Amino acid sequence: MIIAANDQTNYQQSLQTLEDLLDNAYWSATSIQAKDAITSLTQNISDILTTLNQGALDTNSASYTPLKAAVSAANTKLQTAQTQINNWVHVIAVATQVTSAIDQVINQYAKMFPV
Amino acid sequence: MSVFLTTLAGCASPNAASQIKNFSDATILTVSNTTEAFQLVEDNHYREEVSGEVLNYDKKTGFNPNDIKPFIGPDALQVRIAVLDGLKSYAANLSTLLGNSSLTNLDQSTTSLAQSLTNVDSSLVKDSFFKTAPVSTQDIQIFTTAINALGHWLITYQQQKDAKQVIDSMQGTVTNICQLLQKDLKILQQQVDNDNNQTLINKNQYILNNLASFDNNPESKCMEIDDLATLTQEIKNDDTLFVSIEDSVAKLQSTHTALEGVFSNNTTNITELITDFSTEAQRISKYYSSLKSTK
Repeated sequence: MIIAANDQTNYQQSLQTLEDLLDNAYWSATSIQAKDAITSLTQNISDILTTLNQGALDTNSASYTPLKAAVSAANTKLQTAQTQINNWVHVIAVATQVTSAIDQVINQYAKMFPV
Repeated sequence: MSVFLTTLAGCASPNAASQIKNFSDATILTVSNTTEAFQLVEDNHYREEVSGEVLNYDKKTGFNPNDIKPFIGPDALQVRIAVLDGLKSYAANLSTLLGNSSLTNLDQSTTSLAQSLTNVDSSLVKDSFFKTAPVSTQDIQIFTTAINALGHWLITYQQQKDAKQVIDSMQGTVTNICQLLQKDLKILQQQVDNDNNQTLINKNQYILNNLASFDNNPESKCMEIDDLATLTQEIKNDDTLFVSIEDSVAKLQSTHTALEGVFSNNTTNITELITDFSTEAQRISKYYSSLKSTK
């Protein structure tokens, strides 16, 4: 099954927005532990974006199944991050934007990876 | 031979031949600059992968060479290089059509290049350039047709005698290939930006996670921090470079669109376009050299 181009584009853009915001969050974070947690998230998102830039996204492609697993694992971490972001980043605007961007990514996920 | 070709080219003035040669030189330089951009993408991606391996060495129970993969696979790179070589060959052959001496040694491999371009199909274009990028099926088909047309032209160019007719017949092809390259460069620029930012974070986090060790070795700490500052500058430079290359490919397109102007009585506009295009191509080439000398 080919995933609609619009859904791919929207998902990729939501991830790119989150990646950019997490970069900001990393530099705003004030503790080493917070930075470490954000680094882990940016690595996950960066890897997914790289795969999206490299691999054909239809359900028959070789990259689809491992990508879906990676995205699913990243989503779990992102949902945890939403509960922690205010502790990691004390700049309220940055924390709020990250929370909202995570919501966007998870919403788009359902369209990209239907059950 | 040169005189013979000039005669065949019709009434082309020496000025037209000189202008086409300048356009051809600038195109070849732009192709070279674009090819270097592909290497820059790979180099930066490799650096990001390595910085992640270093940061996560303990968490991942050591180093795994299989974790480091190229960003542009060999097949996708080969298609890109073939398209660029095709463009270079077109520009070089256009110049020789007006009696200028050959600028490249592509002639020897033109046949195989042309055949590989004519064999490119839409699925190869999608897989090589736009696996997930927002490009419609129609655009993919347009780009594929343009690549095939470039291949066909290279097969038949020796039968072409009239440079003006050649330029006219290749307008759509060159325009579409330039647009393909511009879309590709935008995606690659985003990838470079992501990789560079992640490298910066990984390297900074490595220092933070090992502060105690670095405190016993302040010189090493100083070098690592210095490296971060240099990387910050490189990120800005890479961004500027990609914008310039995209701009240069756009100039190639607009200059080619107006190129028939070299055969007209008023060459003011086309002269300005060629000069601008050529200056930009040379500036980027020099910029690359300066970046290499500082890295």
